[in-house]
Parts: sequence; structure tokens; C-alpha cells
Amino acid sequence: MNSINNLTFVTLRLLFDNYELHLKINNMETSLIEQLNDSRYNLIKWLTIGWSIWVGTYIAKDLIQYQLILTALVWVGLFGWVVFIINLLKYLKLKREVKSDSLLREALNDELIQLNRYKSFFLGFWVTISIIGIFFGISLFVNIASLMVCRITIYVGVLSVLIAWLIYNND
Amino acid sequence: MEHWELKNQIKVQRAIRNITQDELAAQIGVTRKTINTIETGKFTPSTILAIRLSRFFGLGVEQLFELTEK
Repeated sequence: MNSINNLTFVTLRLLFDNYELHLKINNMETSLIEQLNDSRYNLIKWLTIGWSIWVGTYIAKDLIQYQLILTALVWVGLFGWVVFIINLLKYLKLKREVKSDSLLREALNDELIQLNRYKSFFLGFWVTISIIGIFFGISLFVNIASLMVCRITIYVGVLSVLIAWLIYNND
Repeated sequence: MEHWELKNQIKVQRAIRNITQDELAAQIGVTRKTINTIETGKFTPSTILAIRLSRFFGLGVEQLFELTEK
């Protein structure tokens, strides 16, 4: 008798869960996925801009000797850092919000998004390898500072992944 | 795979049911771009997504998708 009650409870629970899921899908605001998708795209776009300005000026200031330009680069770099940090925090907040809703999380990480992410990292990998190859070639003839090589490789590697992601996910 | 082309009836079925790409995407649980790229043949969906789309339209997978030789 007890096992029959348990079975009935489990069956009812499953039916209820299924109904709840059905209701949730049907009640999901049609444009909510698109709104969040657009927000994510814009945040990554600003992250890319922030990264390119911040680290770009950081690398450039090692190559420039004029004090006036150096001061300007520091301020521009600071602006880039602020843009990057603000958008990174916003992006993490968005991720946390989406994480609590499994249906939304799945919709925003559907197979096309996953494929585009894979393609972006694949491209970034080859860009990074190519840069290392180019620097290796140059280093056979000229002495290059290893710190500079590291910075440029990371800068271009990250930038290429971000730009590729933006291009692949552009409408 | 270059000799094969996956055609589909999603656009037709949407028109019959009078639903937008956005609405279909929300019902299936994907982004609108995913529906758009499947419709235009730019993206080949996984078996799971193909079956989910077919179920939504109440059709068999091969009624919704057709594999043709180029």
C-alpha cells in the first residue's frame, strides 16, 4: 500500500513538474531571450572596445618616448580600463541572473551560440600561434623584449576571440 | 557533406501557423538567430533540435527536413 502511495506521489510530482515546465515555456516573454541576447552582445562589444583601448595604450606607451603623448595615453588607457571593468561587472551580473533560470540559460547558450563560441576560440588559437610564429621568425634576426612579445600575444589573442565572436553572432 | 543540402519547411510551417521566428524561438528555447540560420540553410541543427522542431509542428523529421543532393 505504501509503495502504491509513493508511486502515485511520484507520478503526480512528475506530471506537475511537466505542467510547470510547459507553463513556464509558454509564459516566457517572447522577446526576453532576444533582449538578453542583445544585452550580452552589446556588453561583449563594449568589453572588446575597453580591452583594445586599455591594453593597446598599455603596450603603446612602452614604444613612445614623448612625455605629452605618454600622459595622454595614460588617461586614454584609464578610460579603457574603466569601460572594461564596468562592462565586465555588468556581464557577470547578467550571467548570474541567467544562471538561476535553466530554460533561459539553455536558450542563451543554444547550439548555434556554442558553435560560434567554439569557432571564435579556434580562430583565436590560430591567431595566437601565428603571432608567436611571426615573433619567433623576427627573433632570429633581431633581439625582441620577451615581455613585449607576451603582452602583444595576449592582447591580439584575446582581441581576436572577442572580435570573431562579435562577427559570428552579428545579425 | 558538400554534396548534400538540408532543405526545410520551417518557413512554410511558420506561415501556416502564423508565428514569427521570435515566437518559434521562444517556444523551442533557442535564440531567433538560430531559427533564422536554420531556415536559410546556413546552420544545420543537431538531431535533438531537429526532432524538437518537428514535434512542435506535429510533423515527422523527414517531413520538416529534406536531404537533397546538390
